[in-house]
Amino acid sequence: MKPGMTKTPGALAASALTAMLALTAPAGAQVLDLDGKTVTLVHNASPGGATGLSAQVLADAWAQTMAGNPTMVVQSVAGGALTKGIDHVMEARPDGLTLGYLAWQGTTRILDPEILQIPFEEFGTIAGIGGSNFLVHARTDLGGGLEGRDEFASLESVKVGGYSPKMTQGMQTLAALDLLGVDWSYVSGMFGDGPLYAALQRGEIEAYPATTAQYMNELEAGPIADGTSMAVWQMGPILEDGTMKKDPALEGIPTVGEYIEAATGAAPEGPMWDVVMYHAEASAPVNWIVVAPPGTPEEHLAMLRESFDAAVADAAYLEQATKVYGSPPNIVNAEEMSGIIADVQNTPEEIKDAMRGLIDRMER
Amino acid sequence: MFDSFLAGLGLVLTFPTFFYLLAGIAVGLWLGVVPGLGGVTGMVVLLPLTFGMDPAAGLAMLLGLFAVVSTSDTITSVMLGIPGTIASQATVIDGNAMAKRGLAQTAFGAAFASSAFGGVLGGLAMAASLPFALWIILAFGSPEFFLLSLLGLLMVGAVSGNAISKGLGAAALGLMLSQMGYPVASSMPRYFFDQRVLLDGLPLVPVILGLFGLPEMMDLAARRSAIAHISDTRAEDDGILNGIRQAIRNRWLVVRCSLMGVYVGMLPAIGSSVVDWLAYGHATQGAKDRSQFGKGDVRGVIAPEAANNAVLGGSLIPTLAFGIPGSGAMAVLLGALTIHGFSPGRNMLGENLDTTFSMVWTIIIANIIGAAALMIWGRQVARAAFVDGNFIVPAVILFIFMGSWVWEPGMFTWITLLGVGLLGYVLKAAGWPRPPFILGFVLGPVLESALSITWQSYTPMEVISRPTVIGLVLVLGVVFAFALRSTRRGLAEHSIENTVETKASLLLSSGLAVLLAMVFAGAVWMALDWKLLAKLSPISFGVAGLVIMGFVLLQDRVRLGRIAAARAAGDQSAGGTLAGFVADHGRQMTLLAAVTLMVALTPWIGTYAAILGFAGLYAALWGRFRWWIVALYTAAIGLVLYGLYDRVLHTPFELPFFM
Repeated sequence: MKPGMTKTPGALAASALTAMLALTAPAGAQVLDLDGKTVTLVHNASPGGATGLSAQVLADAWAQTMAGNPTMVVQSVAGGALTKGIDHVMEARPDGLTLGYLAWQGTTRILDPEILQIPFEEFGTIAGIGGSNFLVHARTDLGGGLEGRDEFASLESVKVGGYSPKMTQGMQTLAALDLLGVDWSYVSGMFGDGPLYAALQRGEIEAYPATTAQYMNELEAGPIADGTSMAVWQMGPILEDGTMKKDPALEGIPTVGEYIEAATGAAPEGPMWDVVMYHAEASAPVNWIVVAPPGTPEEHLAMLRESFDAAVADAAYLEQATKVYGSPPNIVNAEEMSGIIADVQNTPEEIKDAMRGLIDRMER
Repeated sequence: MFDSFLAGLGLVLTFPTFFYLLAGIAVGLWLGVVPGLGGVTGMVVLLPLTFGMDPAAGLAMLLGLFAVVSTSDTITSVMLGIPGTIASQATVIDGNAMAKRGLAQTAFGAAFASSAFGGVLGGLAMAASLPFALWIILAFGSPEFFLLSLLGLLMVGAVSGNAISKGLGAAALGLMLSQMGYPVASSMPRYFFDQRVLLDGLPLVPVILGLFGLPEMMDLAARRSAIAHISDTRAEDDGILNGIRQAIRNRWLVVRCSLMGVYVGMLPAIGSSVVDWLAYGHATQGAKDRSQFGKGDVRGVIAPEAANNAVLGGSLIPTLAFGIPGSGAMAVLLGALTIHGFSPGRNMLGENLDTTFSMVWTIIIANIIGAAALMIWGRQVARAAFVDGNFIVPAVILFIFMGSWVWEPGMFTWITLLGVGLLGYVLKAAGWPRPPFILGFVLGPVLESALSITWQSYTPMEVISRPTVIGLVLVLGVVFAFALRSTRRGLAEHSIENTVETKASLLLSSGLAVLLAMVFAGAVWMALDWKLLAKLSPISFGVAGLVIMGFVLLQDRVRLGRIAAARAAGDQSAGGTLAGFVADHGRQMTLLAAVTLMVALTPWIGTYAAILGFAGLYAALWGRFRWWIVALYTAAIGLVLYGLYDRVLHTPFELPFFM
């Protein structure tokens, strides 16, 4: 895609002027004037859906706090397995008029061929946003009937469902099953909570990683209360103290580490546990990265980061965002996000090999 | 439940909800007419406005908009031969043929009446189905989806007319092209040739607009005439009321296709993209006299229009009951529900049942109002069939190119549109029916996904012991037997493309078959080393394609032999001449070359200059309009680009190289 796609003839002229000014002023020394302008927040998923909806909620709040109070519009640039939107922002002119709200899938993208690799570190990183924890949701009629979640660990085998072999929560679940010594098979092709739950009810799968939002809205008072299914363990990001974050909405449900330790009598370790923790550290905190095109002036980036922080602290934003994500969003600041990007880019080969091994078994 | 049903009506009729419903209907009617935009675009644009609204008002506006799009999209299908939206593809075949015969109003009357009935029945059927909707959705697992996809593919026979082998060939090509990108059960993309843009495969909207839209505009430009071929302003008995009478006369077809729409709509991912073809196939297979299909049979309009309006009612069920959005529009609706604090699942069928029923009422009311408005408006719209085609071509080129761009901004989208447009034109000129290509392209991923999940989840014994599988296999067998009987007895005497068979068209067809055989062989060869679930479908489609190409070549050879025999017998005009063929298609190719130049220059001169330049030059050089008409026309095109695509839809444009 050609760099710097933009809007109106007026905006074109403004862009040209901005570009000329950029040549005469030292880079990284100004906050771009957005007064009266339209800033496009590009997301890389199809129109509608969780990504588009959460981008819209963010844009509504951010337009109030951004210097110059520009109009903010949300634009879907879908396609290319999420890369088209990423490339669009990567190649956009750093004039402040294009920002990205991008589903990044960094931790599994590093397994792709070289041609599909994306240099995320080149973006002007503003923040990261994560949704809620996941939990493993399983039928209770497995292995002759499960009385409690402890018995899940004693199953001979379980059929786990997911979106695709590269679904991070799917990988975590299967790695944990390996640690428990439970044989598994993986069924991919069910895109979203709804299709996965329907497949569970049909018996096409026996367990799957569910979102906290689905747990709260459908599962807790429904099949789990009825006793037809159960929440086995939860998986979330890693806190500063090294422990896994527990979602308050999932009270009483152990983390994956706690569950394995209780079932096996020992703290989990080894390559499979490294895979679980790798995704917990690098993937679970962040579903979407909020970025500016490479070359955006540093002072403008600083303004964007400050205004973003103010926007996501706003009560109205939090109320809307909580509806979309299922629980309050997990905000990762620019420094932490840059650290995550660097960690992902430097993923050890042993972790990559362990993930490739898992995927190979998932694909059979 | 009945109390909730009435409470739902109360929610819709309350002010300002009803006002927003009317606003949604107005926007939806307009969006349906513009090729490429459709209901999802409108819903995405309006979605942010609903955040601050009362939930019932927001949902009424969004659903009201979407409900009528599949009614007004008929206008483009009938008048231009371009599907206004994905849901009105099949209407193109007979609807456009009717317009060309000066029967546009009759087509409108029949279509709008059928649409209204289908929409109302769809809403009511949704309400009536709620008690057992969960059972239906849970009963239809992956094995059933696989069989339903096969059933859909069997309709290839019905939409191929008298060119079965070429129809199968087009379907095989559609199936094969649908295999590009990431498969369901593998982490490695297929057939992407190191191009990121191909990782999700070819985008559907440019494929459909290219396949039908570009060839129609090429023909219209070449004719230098109006859409209607007749010289007077209306065919003798053309009229909206006549169309309504035709719909009433075919009322059982309307009922059957509406019910088909509801229940196909319940099946995610199949829905609106194929239901009109299924309905069209049903209409042709069930008709005693099929000779007029493809030439302007009103039943070819009634069946798809009844079905595509009924789909919405059906598709709401998995969306509300399970949070399974079977289409882009349902994904947006799910977003609206989320932001208003509703969660799909048992809540929508329990404590929020009145809201669910308010959606049923919205569909019913919107369909009635939408159809009534269009019946009034239809007379004026039908006159466009007699407008100089040179006024229409640049405007429609604008809409189909920008309509594709809106969905996936980027030059790749336009290249896809151009490429598929050329393919569509070649298919048409070679006598290959185009509808089977779309059926294959849409059903390919559904078929593969269902097969993959079935393979991963079930044992063979589990599959064949499912009662629903046994029932569907029986249905499949019956439909296959009918299709086979129809083919063997040559019952399908109608032609879908109405291509005049000449020696040159047969040679073109044979050349195409050889080229595609190489494509299929190459695709199979590339897939040999892939993992089982990644290669199963492409190899199956490729091998089937190779076999079908053999049949096409054999059939063409026989027909060429007949022409040679006729010439040997003294009829030197048999099969036409190459010069005649080139003369017939030369002007179309000139337009395609002009459009290609527009696309090629866009990265250098930008979107505005490319489109305005094309429109202005076309009007001046091809249309030979006076300079002030050219100026006014080009300005109007510019206004649409700026006002609609830039300011309203915020479409990112290509910039000229110097900016």
